[in-house]
Amino acid sequence: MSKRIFTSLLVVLVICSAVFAGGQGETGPSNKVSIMFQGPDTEQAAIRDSARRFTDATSIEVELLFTPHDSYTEKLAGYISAKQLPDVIQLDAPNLSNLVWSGYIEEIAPHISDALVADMTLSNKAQCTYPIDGKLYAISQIDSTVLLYANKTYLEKVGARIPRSVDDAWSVEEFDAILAKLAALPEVTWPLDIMRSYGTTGEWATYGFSPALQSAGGDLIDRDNWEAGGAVNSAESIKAMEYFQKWAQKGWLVPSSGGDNQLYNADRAAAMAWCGHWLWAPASAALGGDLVVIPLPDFGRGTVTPNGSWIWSITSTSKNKDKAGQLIEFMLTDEKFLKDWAAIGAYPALKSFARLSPDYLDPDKMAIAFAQADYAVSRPPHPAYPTITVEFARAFDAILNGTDVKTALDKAAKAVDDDIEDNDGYPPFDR
Amino acid sequence: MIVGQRHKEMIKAGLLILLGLVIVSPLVLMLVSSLKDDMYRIMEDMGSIKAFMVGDPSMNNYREILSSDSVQNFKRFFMNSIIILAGTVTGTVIISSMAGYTLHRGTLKIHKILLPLIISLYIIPMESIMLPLMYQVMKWGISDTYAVQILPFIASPIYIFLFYQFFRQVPVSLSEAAMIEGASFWRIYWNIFFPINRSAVVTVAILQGMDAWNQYLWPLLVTQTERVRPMSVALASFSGTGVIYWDRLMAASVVMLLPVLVFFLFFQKFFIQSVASTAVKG
Amino acid sequence: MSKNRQLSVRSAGSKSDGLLTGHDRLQELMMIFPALMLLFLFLMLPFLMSIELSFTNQRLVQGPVATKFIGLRNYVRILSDHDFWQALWNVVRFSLMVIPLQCGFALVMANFLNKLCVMKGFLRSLFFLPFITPMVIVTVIWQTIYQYPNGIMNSILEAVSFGTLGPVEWLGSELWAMPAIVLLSAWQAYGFQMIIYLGGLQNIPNEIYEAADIDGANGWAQFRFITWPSLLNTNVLILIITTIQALKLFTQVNILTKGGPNGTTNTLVHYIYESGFVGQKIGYSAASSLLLFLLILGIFLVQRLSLSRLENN
Repeated sequence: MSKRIFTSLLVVLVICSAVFAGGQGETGPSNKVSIMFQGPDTEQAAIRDSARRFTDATSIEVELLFTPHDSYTEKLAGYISAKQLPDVIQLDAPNLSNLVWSGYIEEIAPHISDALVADMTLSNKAQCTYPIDGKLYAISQIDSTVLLYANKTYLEKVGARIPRSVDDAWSVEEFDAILAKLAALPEVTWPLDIMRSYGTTGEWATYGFSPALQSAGGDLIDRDNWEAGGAVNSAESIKAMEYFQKWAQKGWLVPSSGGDNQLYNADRAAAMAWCGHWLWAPASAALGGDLVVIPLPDFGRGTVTPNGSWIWSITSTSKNKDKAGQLIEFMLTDEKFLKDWAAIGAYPALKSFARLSPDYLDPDKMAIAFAQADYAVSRPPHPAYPTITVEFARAFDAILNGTDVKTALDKAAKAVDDDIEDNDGYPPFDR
Repeated sequence: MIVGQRHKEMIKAGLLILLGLVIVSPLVLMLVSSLKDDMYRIMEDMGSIKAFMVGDPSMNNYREILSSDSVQNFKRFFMNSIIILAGTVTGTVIISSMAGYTLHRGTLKIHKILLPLIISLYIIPMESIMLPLMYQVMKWGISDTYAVQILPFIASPIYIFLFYQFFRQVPVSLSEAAMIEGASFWRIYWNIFFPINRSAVVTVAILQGMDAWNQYLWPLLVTQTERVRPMSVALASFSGTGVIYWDRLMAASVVMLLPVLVFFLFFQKFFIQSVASTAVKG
Repeated sequence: MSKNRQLSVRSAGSKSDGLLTGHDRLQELMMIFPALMLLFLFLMLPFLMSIELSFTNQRLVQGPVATKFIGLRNYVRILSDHDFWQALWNVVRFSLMVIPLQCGFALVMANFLNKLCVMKGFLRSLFFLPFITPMVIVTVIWQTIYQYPNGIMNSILEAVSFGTLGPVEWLGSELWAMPAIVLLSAWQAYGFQMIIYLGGLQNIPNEIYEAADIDGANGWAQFRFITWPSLLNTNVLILIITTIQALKLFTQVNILTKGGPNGTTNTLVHYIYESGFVGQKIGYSAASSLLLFLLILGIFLVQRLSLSRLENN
């Protein structure tokens, strides 16, 4: 009897393969444009809906290539090696330099309208520019920032002042003192949540905390001579990281298995959170007026905030560049599309988009977050970025776990410099 | 059975059920959570006994993921997983058992090195060949098909080896008799070894079935659109960067588990073979 | 007992070798050909490619700087990397912990489930459930179980110790992260070994047990003198498979701890994955793959040699 079952399964398989197994889908110029993207359900829905409206308006079909976030880089690498890159790709801003340097994406300004380019915020232009020639190779409707969220009740209990603007931010010494006082409050288990639950060995570490280095006067890598030694392990960088180590060792940070909502869940065990703009939606829903938004602390040379989000580029191998440009132009001026993004609390990178996001203009809400865009420093736009971020993240994680700060940062510096040397300095970045 | 023995059996079964429930409690957790509509409530309940209780069960999560206007086309993913499962299990059982049999009873000199070679292939972790393999299949143009998700797995070193080991335990008098009657190599395999080793076939079918159903990384890499994508990849979309949509994730997990359960229940019936069915007594 | 039979078949076989027709030879070839072909295309070929890559500085995203041959530089870097040796030690530690736990439990369960008379099907399915759960889901569930400070594990700990033992940060503590992963791995995967053991136990004729019952042997004695020796082949198989599986530990670590804290749960496959997929250094990653392969091969050969001596006695 099992023989018959297997035979019938085999037959079913053969039929199904014949029916379903298709080839690749045609390539080359046709009335189609392909777009590769990632993101959670809500973002996917926004993109799909806009693509549908695009097809209705222009009769150009859109092939939607969704890839889960976790394997995005590998998929991209696969397309590249098989020489089958889609027409439009979404990429994480810090990887722009890597892809331009490798020759896979095009200058974007020729394919979109001047009006759209003028609509970009300064930070948006920063995240989409290739430093070597200063040209725009991408565009986005979204940007990001990281800031401090605090529970007003706790702050009032320790008598902390609430900064009114980014220039008014706490100094790191002030911040440190506030944390100490918060730790003494019985109802506070952890004064600060730096979102260790996101994992501090990944991009979050670099994105969320390299600004601290820059604010102290250090950096991930020297942006003139592109050397990591002397930058990521400079005295200023060490000083900044020592604060984080202190906070971790004193038990002031929410641990990685503590989840990501200690600020606003029923326990409210965390007094503050150092997190991205996306925390606003759930936190304000739970805390209401008790939530206050505060700029990142000044580690010595003024507050620095990160930026960068997922941006759209046209690939250099695309055979439908004009259609690609049309699609991007359409989406980024599609009001419904922008409204969908506003609904999920996205951080605007287009002035027109900002007008649709009242929360970001409200001084009692996220206005400070939007103001931080002027203090943003992009992550290093260098082709070695993948190594830079991995090494810094590893070092950051080790530091939180008690490794000597200088040792960890020295190791990171060496690894990055080794990588640059392995690639002959990534010419023309080696001048 | 006499009454005393039956009682003993019932007690034994009772204890086993208790142990079993403890063992599967994490899965009960998952089932219960899938009936809670609010993802924040799921997170809150997690730490206490409330994780196992649901005050107002609701099928909302299931409705959300299975509805036709949900972003993920779950029905499609489900069908894809089924097709890939059927193909992989059938292919493995046939091709790997043929290979295992040939290694055991074959007479070619080459078999001496084939066996160790195949075993050493088992050592290679999938993760280390994934990238070169991905490049290869994209060059061959078979990416985004069912075939590319089935073919790499049906000649699996571990299952060839398993079949080989199980075949070795078959009493040789059986095949001796058949050979004397002039049965060919293939006949002995198809008519004797294969049917007799039902437990081997079922074992491999189940194990390979689990493997195939839960494959995540590989389909992720080689499928471009939802056309041939399996369910395991769909689950990945429920955890964005940092945020986990617990409610829908739990419901999707349950949906993903149910067919496997059915598959297993169906196959494990074949396990119950009394050894008296073998043609020759030990 | 069956050894003698096998010997006799060998001699019978060689006598009747002359009876094996070219037809049979052809069938032999055709039966093993599909497997060999597939193994070559989908396993050997990429592996050979990987070996080739290990001597280069290939990156994930191909750039204008040509990939060049750098000889053994990758290998030197790996072998002088502290993280690599830590990962190696970690998988050894993991294997030593998980093999007895997982296989022992699997054997015990298989034994019980084999001799059951009532509710066989239901109970078998019940105990097999963890194995059919996709690893992605397993990690999600166990992550909540291990949550600090009030995950279920901590609640149990406090209850069992009457409040004396405080909550432990399971996945974040250098001491407990690895044991935590061992537990959840054993929970998820013991079904695999249990099924194989069940298959092996099925081959032991019932009559032997019945005879032992009549002779008055109790359960433990039956296990020691009947079950355990008859499972020799199965045990060898299981030991080899579980060792190789344990040395390839990856998914749980990748999702739950990413090798932390401080590298205490870093495994070799995770090291390979990180340098390749995340660090984008394909050549380096391929080199560590090859080293892992050689390591496992070595352990396997040692196991095989020492165990085959057991088998033949």
